Amino acid sequence: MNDPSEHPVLTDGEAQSHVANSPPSETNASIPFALEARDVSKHFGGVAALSSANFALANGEVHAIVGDNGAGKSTLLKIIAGAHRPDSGDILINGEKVLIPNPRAAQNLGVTTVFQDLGLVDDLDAAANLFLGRELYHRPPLSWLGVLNNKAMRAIAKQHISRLNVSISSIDQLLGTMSGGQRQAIAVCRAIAFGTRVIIMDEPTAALGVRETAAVLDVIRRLHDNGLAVAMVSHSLSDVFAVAQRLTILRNGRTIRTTNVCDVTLEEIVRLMTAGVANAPS
Amino acid sequence: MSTATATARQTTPILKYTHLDNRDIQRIVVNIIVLLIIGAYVQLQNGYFFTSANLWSLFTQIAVVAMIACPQSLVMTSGSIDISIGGVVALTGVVAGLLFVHGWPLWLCFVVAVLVGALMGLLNSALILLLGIPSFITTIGTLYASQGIANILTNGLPVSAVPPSFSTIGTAQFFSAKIPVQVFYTIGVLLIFMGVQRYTNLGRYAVATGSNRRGAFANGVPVRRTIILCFILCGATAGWGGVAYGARIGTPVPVVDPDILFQVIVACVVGGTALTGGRGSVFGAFTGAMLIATVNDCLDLLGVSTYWQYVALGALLVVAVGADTAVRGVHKTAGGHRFRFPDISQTS
Repeated sequence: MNDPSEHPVLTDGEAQSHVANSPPSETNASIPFALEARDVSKHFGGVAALSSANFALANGEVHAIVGDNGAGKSTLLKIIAGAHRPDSGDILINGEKVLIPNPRAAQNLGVTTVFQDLGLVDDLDAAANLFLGRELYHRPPLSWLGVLNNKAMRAIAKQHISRLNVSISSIDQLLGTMSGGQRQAIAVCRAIAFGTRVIIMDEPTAALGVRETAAVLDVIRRLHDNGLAVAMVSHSLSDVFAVAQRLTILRNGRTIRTTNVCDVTLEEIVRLMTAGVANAPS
Repeated sequence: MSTATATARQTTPILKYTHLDNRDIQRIVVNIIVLLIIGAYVQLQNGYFFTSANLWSLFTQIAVVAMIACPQSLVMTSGSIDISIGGVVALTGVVAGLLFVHGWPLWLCFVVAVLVGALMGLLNSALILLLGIPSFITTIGTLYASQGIANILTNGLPVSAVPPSFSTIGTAQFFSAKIPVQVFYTIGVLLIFMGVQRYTNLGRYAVATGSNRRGAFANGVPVRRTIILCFILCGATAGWGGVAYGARIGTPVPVVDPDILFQVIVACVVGGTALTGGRGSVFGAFTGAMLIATVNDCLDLLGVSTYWQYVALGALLVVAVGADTAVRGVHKTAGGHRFRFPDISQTS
């Protein structure tokens, strides 16, 4: 698909040297990462929120970002989403350096972030929320009056919602009457409805009950089945083990380990998050 | 279609078709039922309510309120409120009257009045957006300003020596049934704004802006343009209403009629429009206005004094809003979601 000369990525020693203990990646070396953050630093006043953090999201994987409070997870997420500008370092999409000055630019590059507050409108129904700000219009001259093509939007919204197997009672249901998991799912539908290839999720299961959490994890699996790359920031290691293939551990603003989920144990992750080393002091 | 619809809660077709499980529509239906009950009671008492003469007079009395309530419900849905309509009605009535006295053609007076109203709407929204003052305060300011300008234009007096032909745009009657022109104005405005609310991006953006302004903005909704357009439409309709009202009286007066101002807001609220934004129905506001008119008219027909009509209007507002709040408050403790009426199709 791409010219091989454009792919300096995985084989590039510089890119990998910063990822401590990085295992040999399963991804084909000739395919660039869907999204990569290299040596990203960000300071807020005198506080270094991120200092040369690295993160690489391969195509089609679910990749968890974990770390204790203050490890820099949210800052990294906001930089990728275009909400913050990094002080130094690069963001690459499909191996090409990009500038992400604002959230809209990230969306145009095919990267959508689903934040915790979701940005949904409680007083509109699911279809209206899916198309909010990107409505479909009837053909001119009706479109000049801003006449919406509700029928088409509802039909497409129905397709996306059934594709993710979201159970809502009706496409006309207002968002305000939905549960937390349903709302999360609608926010994800909104992201994939517009050709997004990479979805970043910020604490997708925070404040959800057991059944709701299961439903959201199911949505993430479906995204994976549909070939999308998902990066999720999560506090819940059980969720990480349930859906993620790889994980990146941040500590004090640095990436200290990127590994396959099946290669580490829960105890090792906790020790890496808190103490920075995998082995218990003997 | 697939699992999404398979798991959907089954609703009886009639409820689904009429959207009667929607609480805004329930509100409207309740309004109409109450209106008909009151009317039927008075009809039984003196046999005069359901006569064309009474109904047309009722309609003419409330026309200006019903007209302005339509765009006002849109403004309130978007999270603002336009108090200045009272002043705009006075100002535009005076402007149209003065221009007609100066020999301008009637249609041009009408157009200028609507434009003046739109300009006031633009001014309102510009002040709100540029200075960040809450709309409630801003539009109280422009309410006084527009009343002041109306008084300056006429030296504080009613517009004198208006040719009687001016009244035709307020009092003309059509067809053998003698349908007053005000009925056509009201229905016209109602249909325009029902269309705007239901079928255009402005209606949808108004809900988004009033419900979650930051989220709407982050999703690319033109929040500022939405607010500006809502106020312009409200001002323009107030201008239209100002001409219709001034022409009905015959001599436009530069005085704010507090009845018009407050009845518009009461009509919106009784019609299910939330003062907090995000929820509102143009048709609901219309039924609210008709309910106010019916209550006033029936108290007239029953020979109750005008002063008691004010008490009735106040009671209507408090009962309508109180019932809404009580019902929502009860449900909030139960689960944090909006109140929904029990699904009667689920009864076993």
